[in-house]
Amino acid sequence: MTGDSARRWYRRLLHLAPPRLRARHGAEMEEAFLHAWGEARGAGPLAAAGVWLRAAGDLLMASLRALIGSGQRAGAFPSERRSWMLGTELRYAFRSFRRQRSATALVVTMLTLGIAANIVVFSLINSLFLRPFQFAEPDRLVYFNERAPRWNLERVGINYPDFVQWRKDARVFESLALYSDTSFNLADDQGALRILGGQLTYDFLTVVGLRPIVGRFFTAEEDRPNAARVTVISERMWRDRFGADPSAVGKTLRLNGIPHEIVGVLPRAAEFPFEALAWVPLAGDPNQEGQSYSWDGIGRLKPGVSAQEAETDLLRAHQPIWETKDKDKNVSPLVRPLREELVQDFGTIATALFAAVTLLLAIACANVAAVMLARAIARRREMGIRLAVGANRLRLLRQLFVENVLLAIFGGIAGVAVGRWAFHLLVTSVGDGLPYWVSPALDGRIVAFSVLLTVATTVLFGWAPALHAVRGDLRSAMNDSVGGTTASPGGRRTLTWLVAAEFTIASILLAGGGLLFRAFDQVRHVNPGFSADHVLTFSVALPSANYKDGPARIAFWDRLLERLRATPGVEAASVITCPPLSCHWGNFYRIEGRPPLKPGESNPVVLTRVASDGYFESMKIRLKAGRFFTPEDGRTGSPQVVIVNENFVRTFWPTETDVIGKRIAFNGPKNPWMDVIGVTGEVKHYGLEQPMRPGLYFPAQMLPERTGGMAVMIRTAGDPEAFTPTARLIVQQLDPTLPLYRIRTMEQALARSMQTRAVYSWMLAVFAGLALVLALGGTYGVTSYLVTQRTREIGIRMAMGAGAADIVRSILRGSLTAIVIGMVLGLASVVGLARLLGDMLFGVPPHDPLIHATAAVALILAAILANWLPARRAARTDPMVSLKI
Amino acid sequence: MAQQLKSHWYHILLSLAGGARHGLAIARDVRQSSTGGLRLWPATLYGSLEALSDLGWIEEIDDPSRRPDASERKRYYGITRAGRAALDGETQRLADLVRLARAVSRRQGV
Repeated sequence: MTGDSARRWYRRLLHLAPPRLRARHGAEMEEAFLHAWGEARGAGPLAAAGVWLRAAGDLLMASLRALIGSGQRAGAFPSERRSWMLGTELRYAFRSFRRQRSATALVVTMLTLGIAANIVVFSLINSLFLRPFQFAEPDRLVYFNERAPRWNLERVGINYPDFVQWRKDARVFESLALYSDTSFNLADDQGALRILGGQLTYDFLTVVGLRPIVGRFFTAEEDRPNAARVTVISERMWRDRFGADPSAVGKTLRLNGIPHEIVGVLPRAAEFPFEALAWVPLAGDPNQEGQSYSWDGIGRLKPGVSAQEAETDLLRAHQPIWETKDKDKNVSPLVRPLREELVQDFGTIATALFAAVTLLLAIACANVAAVMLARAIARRREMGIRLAVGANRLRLLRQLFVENVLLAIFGGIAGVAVGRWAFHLLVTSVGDGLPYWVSPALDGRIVAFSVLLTVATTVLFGWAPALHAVRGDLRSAMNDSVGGTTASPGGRRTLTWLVAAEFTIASILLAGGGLLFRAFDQVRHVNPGFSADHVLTFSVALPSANYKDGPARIAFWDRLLERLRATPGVEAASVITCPPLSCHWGNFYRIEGRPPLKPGESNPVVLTRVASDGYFESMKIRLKAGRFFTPEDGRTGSPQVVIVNENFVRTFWPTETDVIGKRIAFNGPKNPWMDVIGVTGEVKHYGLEQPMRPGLYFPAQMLPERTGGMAVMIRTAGDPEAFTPTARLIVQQLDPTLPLYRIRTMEQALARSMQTRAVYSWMLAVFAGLALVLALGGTYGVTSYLVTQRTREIGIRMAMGAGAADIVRSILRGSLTAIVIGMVLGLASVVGLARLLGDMLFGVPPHDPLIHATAAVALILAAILANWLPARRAARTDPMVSLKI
Repeated sequence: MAQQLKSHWYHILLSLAGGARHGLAIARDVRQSSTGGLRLWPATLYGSLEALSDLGWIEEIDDPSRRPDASERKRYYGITRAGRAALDGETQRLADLVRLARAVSRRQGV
């Protein structure tokens, strides 16, 4: 920008200043500005932009000061009133707001609701998508895993040797790492504690682009089996336990009873996965055969590479694995953008919310437009008179502009306040339901964006009516309103269709929200397959350092259950590896009498749980055939037994009626056969909305090695939560180094599994309600205006003998037709649009008659109410009065 | 003059106490004497000059160096007696304040 053009622009800006100042000092002000601008230009474009902003602010402040001063001085210097235009305009604006109190309140309310909803939803979407992790260049980060469609698993977990192979041959990756969440018992003189942690391969920090704040990260040598025990701790733990003392590095931490040397501290941003407090090397063995599929992967791509290309690359690197150990090609690599992976189904939800809030804002805009239009038409006479006595058109427009901006500012301020409050409320209510990496916060940019949006909306929608009011010839403007008769047909038609459009959108939101709410209701009424009331659950992990073998573990659980069952108030107690709504351990089994699998044949993975006797009784799981476990089942020497679920029977013995006594075995020819002794009903292990897999239970004594970490299930007579201290006491009496963790009632677990759905269903319900209120308010405003305009006509009609009922009917008929058309359009489009919601609908049909009928009734009632109130008022007017106006 | 004076007014008066100046020179002077801390933006500067003139604390004076044909004349301002009194009053107020602050911090042994 040259000095000349800067001068020109500043001269334009000068119009913001009070005219007197500009007239007297304009030239010198330009010089002063150019002086500052010239200085800043040397310091770069940012500084120059800053000068422009400051200068504009300076001018605005000056006119505000003049404005405030004008009130006090108006009397003393009457001649100056003319010069301070903005002041006059503001005063006029307030006067006009006072005169049209209800219209003003209506517009501000619409704007408030629209902005508040916007702020809430955009902040939510922002927290979810735009700023979730603090890793460097998050767009280049991908999540990878292995998929195994034949095992009925979209993600099977990564096999360590596969990963080593990929790391060796991948070309488009800058670096790859494996991670897994875990937790540790951390016992010291301060007591026993369970902390979240992670297992990472040595390249993890390179992938996420972070550095230890103290010390170092694992070396490749430490990331090997039987290497020295080292750990890296998080900044939080460093501060809390070590007072942020750098000498913490080198100290020892006892994780799961084993001393680990602390080698480094990672910044807060590295708390991945979950809110990990300590990490240990994953220490995989590339050479051992038959390893499980269990890890998750995170990788950094080279610049410009897509996740799709990365998957192709890994597939190429994967070829040798298919040629050697996986000839059936059961598993193959899978790569997705990390963000998409972490957000998962939140994506659809956010899109739906985004759509809903956009529609809501559209209604608010239509409302503002309608009310503004009505205001403008109503003021045609005022404008006409002002024009006639010589007012400047530009000045009238500026007056209307100031009014619109003021309205927008009021709406903006109220909207931000309400939005902040609502977002806070929402975040508190979701609590743990939000993904762990989301740090919900109101973003200043979003608030600014929303306010800007409304100012734009109001000015834009207020502008057209303003033009409408000022434009056109004076005579018709005066004639139009002098008689106080009906408004111009053009204006009336526009208003009617704006109202109809509002009802279209409102019906979309109402029916859409209704469908989702019905889906939520249906999910809530899904039978979980167990009885959640009066059940307390918590987990206890036995560190292998102190509980070296299976018998030692079983002995502990036996003693614990014995103690618990002897405690008053306990109706039943048991332990299980994975209670409903928690973990997953999958396995493959041979079925006796079934030919070995042909290549390519599907082999669904089986959810495998290890439970003590009394588990089914304490959870009240239904028995479909056979019997439950007894304390003798699984003891050494007794027959090997297993209990399967109905889904297992359907999958593997689809034609059999009686499966008791049939035999299965772990995969591998040498494993012994086990008898099926019982069949249980379906337990919704993965959540009420998720399909169940084939599953089975082993008695704990049969797989004692597998009982290192168990969930304890206690059915109490009274409040299950109140039993927690007693339970903790009993565990600590047996072993004071054992912390209890994941403590909750099954009812809480069930509610938490539905929390996300609950939150978005409620949000959409609130939006639907708001949409209805907005449509009602807008219609009321418009009808009120139209009726006021028709006062004289109504007076004439009544004088001619029309009854009140006739008047009301004629008014209702006028707008209801348009509204019903709008509503039908809206409901029809819901049927099409709802398909996009997919799983969110949980099987509720998009044309669900109950929801559509309810929405239609609510909309019609709202429309009638909005029209009837002003109609009744009009019908009550004394014709003598209305004719005299 | 117990009432506090706006700080940029004070600085403007202070600058003019050192001799008559025009607007931009005042701004430069203020910026220097406040070691860069106070920048008077155009509308603030000239608005203040207007207000101070209205109060009678400063007055417009003839440009000592003006050639008769200069088309864009710069307005020169000088401080009046009332202005000087206001300036002295504020200086006294500030000095009292500093004395008080020193006394307090001494008592506390800061």
